[in-house]
Amino acid sequence: MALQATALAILLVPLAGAFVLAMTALRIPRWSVWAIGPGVVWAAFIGALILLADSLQHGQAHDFTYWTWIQSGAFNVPANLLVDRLSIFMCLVVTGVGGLIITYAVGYMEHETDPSYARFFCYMDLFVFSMLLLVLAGNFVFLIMGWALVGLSSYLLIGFNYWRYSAVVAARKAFVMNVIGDVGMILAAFAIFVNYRSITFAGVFGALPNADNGWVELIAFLLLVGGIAKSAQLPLHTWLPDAMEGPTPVSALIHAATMVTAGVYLIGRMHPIFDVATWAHGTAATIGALTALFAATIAVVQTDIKRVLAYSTMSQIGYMFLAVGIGAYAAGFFHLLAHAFFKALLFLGAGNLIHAMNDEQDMRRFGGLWDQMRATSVCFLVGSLSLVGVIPFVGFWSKEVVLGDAFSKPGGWELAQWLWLVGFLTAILTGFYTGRMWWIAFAGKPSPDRPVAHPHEAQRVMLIPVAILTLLSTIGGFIQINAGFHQGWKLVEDFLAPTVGHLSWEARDIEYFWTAATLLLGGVAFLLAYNFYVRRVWKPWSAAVPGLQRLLEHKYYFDEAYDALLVRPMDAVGEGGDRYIEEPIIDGTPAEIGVAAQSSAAGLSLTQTGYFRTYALVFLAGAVVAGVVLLLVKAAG
Amino acid sequence: MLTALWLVPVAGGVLVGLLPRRWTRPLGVLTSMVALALAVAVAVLFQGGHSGYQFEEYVPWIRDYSISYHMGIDGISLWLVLLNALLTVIAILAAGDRVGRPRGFIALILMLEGGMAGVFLAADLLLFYFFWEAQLIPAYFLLWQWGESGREAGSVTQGPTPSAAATKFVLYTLVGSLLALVGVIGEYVYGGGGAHTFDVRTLAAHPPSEGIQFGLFFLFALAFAIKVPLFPFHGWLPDAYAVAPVALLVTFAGVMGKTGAYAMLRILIPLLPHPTLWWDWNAVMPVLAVLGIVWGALMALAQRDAKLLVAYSSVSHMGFIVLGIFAFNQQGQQGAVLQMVNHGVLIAALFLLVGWVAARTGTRDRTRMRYLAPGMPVFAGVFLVVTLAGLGLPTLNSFVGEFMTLLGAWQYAPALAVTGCLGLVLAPVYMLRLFQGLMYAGPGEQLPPPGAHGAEAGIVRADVASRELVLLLPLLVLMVLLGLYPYLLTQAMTSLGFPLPVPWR
Amino acid sequence: MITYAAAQPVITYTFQQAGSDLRQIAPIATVTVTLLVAILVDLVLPARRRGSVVAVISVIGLLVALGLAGLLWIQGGGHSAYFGFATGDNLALFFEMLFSVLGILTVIVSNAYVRRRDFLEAEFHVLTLAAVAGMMVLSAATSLVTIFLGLEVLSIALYVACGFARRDTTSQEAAAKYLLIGGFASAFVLYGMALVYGGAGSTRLTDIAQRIGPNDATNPLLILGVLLLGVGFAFKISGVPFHQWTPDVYQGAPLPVTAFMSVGTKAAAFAMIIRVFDYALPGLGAEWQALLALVAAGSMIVGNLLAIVQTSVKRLLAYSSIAQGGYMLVGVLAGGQRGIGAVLFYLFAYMFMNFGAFAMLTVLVTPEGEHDRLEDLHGLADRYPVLGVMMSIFMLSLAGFPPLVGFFGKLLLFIAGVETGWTWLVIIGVLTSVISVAYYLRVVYHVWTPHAEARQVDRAPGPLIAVGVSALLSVALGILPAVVQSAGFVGASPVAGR
Repeated sequence: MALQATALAILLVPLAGAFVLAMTALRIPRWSVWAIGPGVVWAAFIGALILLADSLQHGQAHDFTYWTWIQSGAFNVPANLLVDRLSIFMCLVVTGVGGLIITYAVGYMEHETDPSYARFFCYMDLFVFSMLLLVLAGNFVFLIMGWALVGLSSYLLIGFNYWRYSAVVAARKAFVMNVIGDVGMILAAFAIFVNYRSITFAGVFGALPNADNGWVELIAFLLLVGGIAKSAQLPLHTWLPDAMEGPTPVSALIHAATMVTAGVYLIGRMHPIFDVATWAHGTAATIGALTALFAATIAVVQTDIKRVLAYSTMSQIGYMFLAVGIGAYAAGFFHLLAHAFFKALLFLGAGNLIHAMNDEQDMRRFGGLWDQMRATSVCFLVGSLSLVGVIPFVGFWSKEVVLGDAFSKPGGWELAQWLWLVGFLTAILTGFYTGRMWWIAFAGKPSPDRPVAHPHEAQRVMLIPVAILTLLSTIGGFIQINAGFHQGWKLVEDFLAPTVGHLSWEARDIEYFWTAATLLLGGVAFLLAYNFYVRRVWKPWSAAVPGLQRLLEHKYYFDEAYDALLVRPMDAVGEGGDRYIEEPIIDGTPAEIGVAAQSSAAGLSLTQTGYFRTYALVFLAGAVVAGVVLLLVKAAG
Repeated sequence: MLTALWLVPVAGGVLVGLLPRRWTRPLGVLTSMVALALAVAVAVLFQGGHSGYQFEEYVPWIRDYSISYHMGIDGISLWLVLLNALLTVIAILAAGDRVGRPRGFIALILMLEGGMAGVFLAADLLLFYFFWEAQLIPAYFLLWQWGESGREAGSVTQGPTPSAAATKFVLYTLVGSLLALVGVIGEYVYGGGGAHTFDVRTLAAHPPSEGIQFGLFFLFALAFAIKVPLFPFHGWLPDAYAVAPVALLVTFAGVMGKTGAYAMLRILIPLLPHPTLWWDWNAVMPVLAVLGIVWGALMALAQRDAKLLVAYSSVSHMGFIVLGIFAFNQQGQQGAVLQMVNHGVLIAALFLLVGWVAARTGTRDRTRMRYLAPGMPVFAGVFLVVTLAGLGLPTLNSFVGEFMTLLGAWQYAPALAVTGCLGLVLAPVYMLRLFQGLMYAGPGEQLPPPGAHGAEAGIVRADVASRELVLLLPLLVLMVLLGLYPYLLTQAMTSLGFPLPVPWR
Repeated sequence: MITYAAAQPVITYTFQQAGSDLRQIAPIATVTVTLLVAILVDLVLPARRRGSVVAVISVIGLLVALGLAGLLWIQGGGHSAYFGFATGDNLALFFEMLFSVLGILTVIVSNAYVRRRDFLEAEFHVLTLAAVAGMMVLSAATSLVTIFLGLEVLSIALYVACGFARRDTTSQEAAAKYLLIGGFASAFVLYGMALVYGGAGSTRLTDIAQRIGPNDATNPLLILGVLLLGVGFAFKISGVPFHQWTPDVYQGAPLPVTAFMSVGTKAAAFAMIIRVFDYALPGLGAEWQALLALVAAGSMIVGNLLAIVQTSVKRLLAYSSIAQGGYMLVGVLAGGQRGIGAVLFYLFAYMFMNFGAFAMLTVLVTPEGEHDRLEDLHGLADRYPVLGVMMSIFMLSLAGFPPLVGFFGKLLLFIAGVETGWTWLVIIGVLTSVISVAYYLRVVYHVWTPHAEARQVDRAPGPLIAVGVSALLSVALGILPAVVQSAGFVGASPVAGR
């Protein structure tokens, strides 16, 4: 009972915070915003810890039902929350990392006017609520609700600076693309209900067939649509880079640490379905691997530091998809955790820079910050190395688990192995672009057109969260050290095992070699970038292949293609339909009928001459006609 | 009890019309409040899980033709009567001092409420038709006498004159309803197993032969489709909604269309379950509905006039209702009823907001409005919530209706549901275009943020007045409540006056 | 082959027999007596006081007639009289009541009207009474001879009345047209009667009904007779294509006359059609039904279409009355108690809404003359909202909107139509009704259009009373139609063969 209340409280406390801030946004003092904004998230974190404690004690999952959402014939939807190891895990990530980031925002947003300040934390709390609803939902309808609500909060925060048109359109783009994903989920829910006559997770997973069939595949694919839209995987990824219009803490929380990993959570949560639907499962893994490589290549040419991080996020989420796609769920979630740490760290570090540089984001205009912003530089370096996957940082352990599991998946040289190869190459690219980013931003001389000559290190409220994240990125990996070779403890896998099960295959010794290779080559690539971009001893590769350079800078022309194939045609159809069908036909026809009646009446009234002779004539004619008709009637019958 | 539900507004309307002007507003508000209170009382006393009409009233009217004054309320009509009563209160309050010659306006709007209540309550086919036609008279006078048109009313194009729009509305509607009169008579003659009765229950128990049904279905369906309006019979809607004053639209758009949808669910389907001769009408309707969903959305994309954009969005939304009704399963049809209520709540709020923006800026051309949010933050917040409801955000009310109707459609034919989902995808496009276009920075703009130095220039400070907020508050509460607890409606919905062809459990 | 059985010569005609016969036609007798009294009074009284006295007398007389008819109706058991030449059955009584009411309304309306345009009032009322008497005779006549008698009495009175505005040429023209074309039609009727007599061997409808069965439908005499009769009748109800006189005459005639004849002539003609066709000639049903169906369709379509383009309210109402006649023919075609009952109900409803509309125009009359252009209605509702509402009621009722009596009138007619398989006519009916709404609403539109200087209206009580009563009944009967409807059934019973 107490637990049930706790689970609900975890949801309601952030919501209440958001509500209060929304009601009072216009006349609330700052200190109370500080108290409420991050406060409610930390409160939720404590709640999550309580759930964790209970789960570690008793270990069984709970399915709490609060009220009936709707009951219509066989369609019965309880408002229920599912509290198991997976949802607790996600709750901890969301509230923990979220708490850090929102605390950081207290300092980062200080330049805003009071209403905007309150509005920001209102949206943030709303997001935390939505994300928690997403991970705690115990049925598909509430999953969809959370799914849509995180989309909404993402929309609100991307468009936070609504006085900038670029932000406004970026927000709309993100929302619409996410709605496409929502529709996928909705259709999946329909198919699920029609086939299994239930809409709760428990009911559906209980009713699943153990053999693969068309419906399961369809359901899985539809779910996957939602997943890739939310996690910015190919081909529904184009909104994420634009989403960087949002303030940096937003990018850190929503577009790096939590929301964009919802797709991974979805596949993990739906693993009973995906385990059966082999094709969809494989597709997820493939999309993940391809996105990983795809995004990494684009990251190589980006100059906006936040966009580099955005593409690397896409790339890393690709790894997660790869993992959960091949069935290595624990690995996927471990990487999710690790990524939450170091990507949040990187974004907040970037935030420090942008803050110091008066909102300048083009890293070519930074340079030489190593001496002036030492703390930030160090933390950022930790984050970068973690991203590259350098031992002993958390990224190494998690990424190597993913790659190792993929490589050693039994069945000779099959899909998993090919995908591993892609991941392997991506790792090297990751090293390169991360190095490029770090060297350009921090090393070398200050760039001549740097907006601020003597930047100040960030204030304490911003540095502390960064420091904590740095710590986590450094030692966090040691909770699971079986990277590549299945030895040593693996707390994450064990913790999640009750929900997603243990890895179903053993390692192969040759992994030692490949793990070492990945580490080595990644590190080397990181260092090589120095020669390209700082010492410039080698002339940049792009000079050799300008075509490739252009292709990458245009992000493979995805935006252009969508604009030409979808957006413009849609508007054209609307306009054209309005002008050529709606106006003249649907709207105009009644009027035309009226005119026709008028004119026919006018014609008829010509017979009304007013002369007796005409009348008599018509009278007679009428009589004759009547007679003829009468005869015809007789003739007929 | 039920008689009071329609008689109180009508009598009150007559009284308002007769008494001197200074009585108009208090009496109007009082009457609508009493009507609402009665409706609420009925809802409270209503027993779920009880089959057959409740609060039934039966008086023979014309014995030789077995026409009777037969009123009854059940799980479907209950909610629409409530909606009707609530929206009328809001409409009268919204009329406030914005409407000239309030005496006639309020009197007629009360009569309109009475007429529509009668449509929902009638349990006798002829009585139903009686109210169905009667409601046209106040609607006509309201549209014509209080309609606003042309640029001075803020519309983009000069547009039709009120009288033209009103006449178009009445004639267009009459083409359908007078053919429906033939349908009513046809039911009387051929239906009911030769009983020569107008009693809906009896008629539903013995439908005529399929060939006859085929003909009658056309006669009825046309009338109802025009009223809803169902694509492609919405020709009257753009003109009518363009001229109608906002206060009128609250009930005119919020409830009147529902009478058509209600009639489809309560008259058309039960009385003519198998209208099959050369083809099956039941298969035609959902297709039209889906086309309407998509078409309405596309047209909404093309509108510059904010009011028309909302008008077309409602064409799209009404498509969901019809789709659900003709999905022929409980989820779809209950979803349709939910959508009727939800759309009523939603469209009323949308029109109020759009109207108030127009009143503040003097135009309805959304390309000429921008960056209003700094000047009216609260307004912007409320508008945001309503917009989200309009684009079917889960946890707000219209998602429930759309989800359920599409779920029903999927069970009937997945292709329909998939196509219908286009409406879900397009809705955010046009709704956000409207909201962002009005409230946020315009194309290519990089404005100073509010509060920043020099930002005050060109910002109109005209935030929502508290008495406006009071009108919206109940609607906003309903949007959230019905989004999170639709069971509130569905639990009572299964107690029907007479069973539907597809029984509800 | 028809056997010519000469009727038994009647030797004895007792007083008691005479009394009972007179009893059957009491209302007619009353009106006739009133007529004579009125003429005498007109002769003896000084010119100044004649008018009002005559008006009072006629009203009293008509009231008595109404009372008597009502009494007989309640007592029931009316039967044939004068050897089957007339009858006091319920159908006759229904019409006699209707005509009395119509007469009273006309007198109280015209009283003010005639004053305003200073006509000779007394003659005017006398003519009205004469026409009423003719109509009553027509409705009570059960023999071709008496029918023609009534027809002529009624027509001649109206010919004169139409030309009553002596100084007004349009009125003269109307009278002339009506007279000529009316005579034309009477000839048709008369020849038709002759032929039917030739075929049936009797002028008494009962005999005709007995002697002519479906197998006589081959008899050319009869067919031609039916044709000629049908044409003549169609003229009287101004059915298309024998309608063209209607707008001109309605427009030219003085308003009270128009109001009176638009209702009275139609009603009387329908009484005649019902008796002759529905009652006496069911044997030739196929023939006269084909004929009347044609006329009905034509009237509904042409009448409604032409009304759209009118600028004069009188002409507009004339065309509308043509269309209304078409609707009523549906009931005649349906026949039977429900069909004829529906016609009777509709006539009763029609009396109030149509007469009310015309009476409203008389309110606008000034000494200069009538003002019946649509624009003349401007500002009416502004200055006198009540009058505006009432005019709207009449128009909407004619258009057939609930909760007004016109709705039930159409409903009952159309029910009868569909029941007897005239669905195609009914569909034409509803579709043309849509057109009709267009022009009825145009009148409403002009009534409610504001106007710079709102015109003075005649505040004389008579017309206002008539208008008020009509409006009141148009609403009341729309909410409680059962009263009149059941009366219609009773009235239809004597002729409801089927």
